[in-house]
Amino acid sequence: MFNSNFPILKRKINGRRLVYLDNASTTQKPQNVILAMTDFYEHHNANIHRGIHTLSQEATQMYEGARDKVQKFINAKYREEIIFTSGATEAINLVVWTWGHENIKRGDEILLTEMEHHSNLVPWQILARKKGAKLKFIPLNETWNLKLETLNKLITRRTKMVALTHISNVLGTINPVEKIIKAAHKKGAMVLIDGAQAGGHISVDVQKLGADFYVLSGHKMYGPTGVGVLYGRKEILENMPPYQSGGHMIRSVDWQNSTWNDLPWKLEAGTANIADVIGLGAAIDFINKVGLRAVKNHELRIMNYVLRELGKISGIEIYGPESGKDRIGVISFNAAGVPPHDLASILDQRGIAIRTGHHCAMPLHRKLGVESTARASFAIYNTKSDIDALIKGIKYAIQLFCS
Amino acid sequence: MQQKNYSQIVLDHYRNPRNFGKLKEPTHTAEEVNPLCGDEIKVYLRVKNGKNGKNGKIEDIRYEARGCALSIAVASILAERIVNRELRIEETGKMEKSDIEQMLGIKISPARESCILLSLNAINKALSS
Repeated sequence: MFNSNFPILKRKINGRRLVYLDNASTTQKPQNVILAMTDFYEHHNANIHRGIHTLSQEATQMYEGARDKVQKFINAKYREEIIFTSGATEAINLVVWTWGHENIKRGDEILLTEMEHHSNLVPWQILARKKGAKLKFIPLNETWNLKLETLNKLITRRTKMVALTHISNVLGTINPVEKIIKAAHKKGAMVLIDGAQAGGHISVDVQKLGADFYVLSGHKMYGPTGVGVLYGRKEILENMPPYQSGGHMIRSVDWQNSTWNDLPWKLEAGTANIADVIGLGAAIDFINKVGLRAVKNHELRIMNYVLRELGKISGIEIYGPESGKDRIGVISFNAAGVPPHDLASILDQRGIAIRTGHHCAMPLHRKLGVESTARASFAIYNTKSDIDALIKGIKYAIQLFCS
Repeated sequence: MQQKNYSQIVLDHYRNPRNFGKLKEPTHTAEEVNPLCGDEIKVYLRVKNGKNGKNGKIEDIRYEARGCALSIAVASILAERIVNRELRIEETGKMEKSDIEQMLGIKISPARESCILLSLNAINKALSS
């Protein structure tokens, strides 16, 4: 679907049609995103805010227009709850080094899960060490879902923050975040949801979820690299100190003291990544044009097809929920006898892009009992024939290595 | 370099790595890991004469490794050449990616460079230990 919108899909790789199955790392960009950014640089480029001249006003309108698009996209109550960052990683770090630094004290607990990406683990580790706080983890069960029955015991009066991924970038598991948020709020804990793998795959309604913080990665949802989103509830963001400081985030500056700008600009120091934010806005236009329901249905069909076809090959171990209903977007697996890196090289020779390694989730891979896995991940432009090419490539690799 | 990453040489050495295992009373050992993919190797060398591996002769080599076909195959080929006295201490320190490509008979993409250099790095690390 919509393949003609993606210029890169016309490329040949090693003489073959490009089959791009590394979408959990970054998706390809539709023409309208590329054009929106070119159009900005060719016709509207100027720094935003406080500019009286025409270009600056146009640029400001386009930049702030993208904020409105993000607000609608995740159904935030106020536009000033949308903070643009350099990516999901910076969005999480922003929360850790502002809210976390102010609110986490010695003896407090931060609850994560066993399926977190390093970006939602390492910042909390550093904070916990600095503050003398404790990290705890919601374990996984044998079907690669979170063990929800442990929640009541794991969330205590000392739990100040529950931070977890919406969708696992390794297992594809869709976590029941709404339930977890309710349980956390009951005990007075804050919740941050890492939506890097959810944005552009499933619809997200931050008000319905009740999330305190929600994080998006622009380039994993058809937008450019270098832009991400932090959503935070207004009253929380208002009480947070600035993250970075300097230009743009101030109201007034004295030799000795300064006062801060209003939200959202208080948390956006320096010249913004204007073109990429506009590109993200265009990516949201694209997703809306396709429709998230259609995206989800398409990816579900692809997932069920992959699960079925991979399951037919003997010696394939699949990591993650067995049913296509409980997972979306990614499938990690290993083929017995074919090391994942070699599999990736062999597939690359056939024009097929997958990723191998620990996918920035080393502790999870230790739990899986493997050093690395092969991962195929999907987007709106993937077709059944992409999957057929993948399956054929895997069979070829197995034959090459195991005959 | 289409379809040539996996020459018969690579597959042969990967399936049947030569001189695999531990060495009794090694004079030099070293471990190397590739944190990106988890490939690991431990090499055991017995070097005669000369300290710090200099002016010495490698009498024997064994290695224990886990990893992809390329990293295992290179370890096996290097070990075989050392055991056959085709590769001397002075030479291992000067070897480069292109030398290994020549041994394998294939070109290696930049993304796989660390795979083919793992065992060579381990050997050189051991020799300079």
